Amino acid sequence: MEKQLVTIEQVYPWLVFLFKVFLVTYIVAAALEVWLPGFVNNNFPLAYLLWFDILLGLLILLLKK
Amino acid sequence: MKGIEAYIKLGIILVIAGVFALFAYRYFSVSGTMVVSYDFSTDEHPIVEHFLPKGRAKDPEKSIVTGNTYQRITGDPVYMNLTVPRSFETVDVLVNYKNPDNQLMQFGVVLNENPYAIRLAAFEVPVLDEALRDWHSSAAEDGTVLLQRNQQFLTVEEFLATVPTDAAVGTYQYDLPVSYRDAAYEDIDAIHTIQHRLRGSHTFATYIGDEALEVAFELVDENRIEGDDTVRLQILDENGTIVHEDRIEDDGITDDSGETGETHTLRARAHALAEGVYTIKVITSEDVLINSIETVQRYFVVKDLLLLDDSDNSPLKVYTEAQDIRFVSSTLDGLQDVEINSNHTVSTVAVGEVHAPYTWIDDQVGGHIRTVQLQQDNMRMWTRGYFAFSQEQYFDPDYRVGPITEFTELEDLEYIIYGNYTSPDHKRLESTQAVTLSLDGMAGDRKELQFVLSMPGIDESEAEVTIHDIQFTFNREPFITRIKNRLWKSN
Repeated sequence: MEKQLVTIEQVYPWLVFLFKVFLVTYIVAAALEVWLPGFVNNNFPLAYLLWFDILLGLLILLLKK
Repeated sequence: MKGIEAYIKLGIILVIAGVFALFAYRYFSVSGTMVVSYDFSTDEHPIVEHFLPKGRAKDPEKSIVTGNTYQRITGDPVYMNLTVPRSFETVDVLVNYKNPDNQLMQFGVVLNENPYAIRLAAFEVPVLDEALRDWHSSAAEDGTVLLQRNQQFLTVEEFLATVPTDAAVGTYQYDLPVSYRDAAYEDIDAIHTIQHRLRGSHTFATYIGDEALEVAFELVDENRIEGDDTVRLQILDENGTIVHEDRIEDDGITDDSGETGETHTLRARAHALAEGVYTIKVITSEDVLINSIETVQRYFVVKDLLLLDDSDNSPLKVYTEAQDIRFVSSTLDGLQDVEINSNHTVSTVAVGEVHAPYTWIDDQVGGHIRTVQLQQDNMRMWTRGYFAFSQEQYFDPDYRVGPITEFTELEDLEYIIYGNYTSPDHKRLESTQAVTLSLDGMAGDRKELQFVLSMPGIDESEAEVTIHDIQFTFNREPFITRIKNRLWKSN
C-alpha cells in the first residue's frame, strides 16, 4: 500500500494558522516600532510577541518529527 | 464546520487589527492624552531614558528582596530625556519615591538649552510640610497661602498690605514685593572707595534718599578666556524698570592670549530719582575684573554672589546678615580658614580643596550682622542675601524677607507665603507627588523633552533619594476638537 504524505498544516491546521498570524503580526509590529518608536512597546513588550511565535515554531518542529 | 472555522480565524485577525488600532489611537493621542510609565526595569524603553548624568544618578537597580526596580539619585540636578511622537501642551507627572533625608526637591522641564531656561515646580519642600502641619494657615482666592507661627494677620490680603519688616518671612515660588524705606536716612558727603577686585558679573544694591545716584566701576579685561568681553551696566528701580544703561565694548581681543587690555571706567550718574532701592547690574564675562568701585551712596551692598579675585592676598572682612554662605576657592592661594563671627560666636570653615564648595550654616537665628574674616581676598562666596565691605555700608533691602532654600530651618521663620504647592502623600517610607508642567514657551518642536529633578544641597549633605516609578500623562487638545477648530477658523 502506498504511503501517503501529509503536511503538518493538515494535521495541526490551527497551530500553523496561529504561527503564521503571529509571525505576520510580529513583522508588522516590529516595522511599526522602528518607524514610530514606542508604537507597540509603550503598550506591550514586542519581545513577548517574538517569544510566543518562537515557541509556536518550536512546537511545530517538535510535532513534525 | 468549515464556515465556523473561517469566522473564528477572521475574528482572531480582527482582534489583532483592533489592538493595532488601539495602539494607533494612543500613539497619535486621538483623545488628547498619552500616558508613558517607567519603572526603571529596562534601559531600552522606547520613549524614556533613566536619569542622567551617571555621576549624580546611579544605574537603575533591582531589590533582591522585593524585586522592585528603582534609581538612586545622589547629585543635583539630574535629567530624564523623553522622545514623544507628538507635541503636547501640558504634562502631569506622577512620581513614587523615597526621600528619607527630607531633601528639598523640585521637578521641571528644560525650555531652552542656549540660553539655558527651565521651568521648575515645587515637588517636596520639607520646611513647608512641617509648617503646614503645625502653623496657622490662611489662603487667598488666587491660591496664595500664608502660614503664621503665631497668628498676627487674619487674611493674606492684610499681611500683604503690611508686610512685617522685623520678622523673618520665607517665600516659596512667590514674589513678595518689599519696599525698603529708611525714614532716618541721611546722605553722606564723601566718596566710598571699594578697593577689592571682583571678577565678572555682579549685582549691587543701593538706597537713594534725596541725593543723586553716582557710581563708577574701574574695569580691566584680562582676555584669558575666548569670547566677547563687552561690559553692560544697568540700573533698575524697585519695579525692575531700567533707569540708566551704559556699556563698554570688547577691546577687540576675543582669543585667550592673556593680553591685558586698557583700564576703563564705567561711570553712572542718575539725578532726580525717586526714593527707594536701586539695583545696579554689571553684566560681563569672567575675563573682566572690577578693579575698584567708587560711590557717594551711604548704603552699597553686593547681592547673592561675590567673586573676590586675588589682588594682593590681603585679609578682608565682609559683612552680611546671611545665615548660610557657600565658599569656593578657585586657586591654591585662596585655600584658607574662613572665620565667621555671628553674635560673638566664632566658627571656622576650612576651605581645603580647590573648586570644592564649603557651606557654612549659622546655628543662630536672627537678623544680626555676621562678619566673615578672610585671610586672603581670593574667594567665591554665594548666599541668598547681601554682602558689604564695611558695616556702615550694609543694609538689607529685602528686610528679612527671603526665599526658602535647602538651608532654611523652620525655627528661623515667623511667616511663610507661597503660591502653588501641595504636600506629597506619604505612606510609610514611600512618597507620591504629582506636578503639572506647562510645555508652553519651549524651544523646538516639543518632541525631544528633558525633565529636571533638582535637589539643591544633596551633594554636600551626602543624602540620597530613590525614584521607584514615574508616570507622564501628556495632554493636548483632542483630535476632534482640533479638526473642529480648524474647520471653524477656515470658515
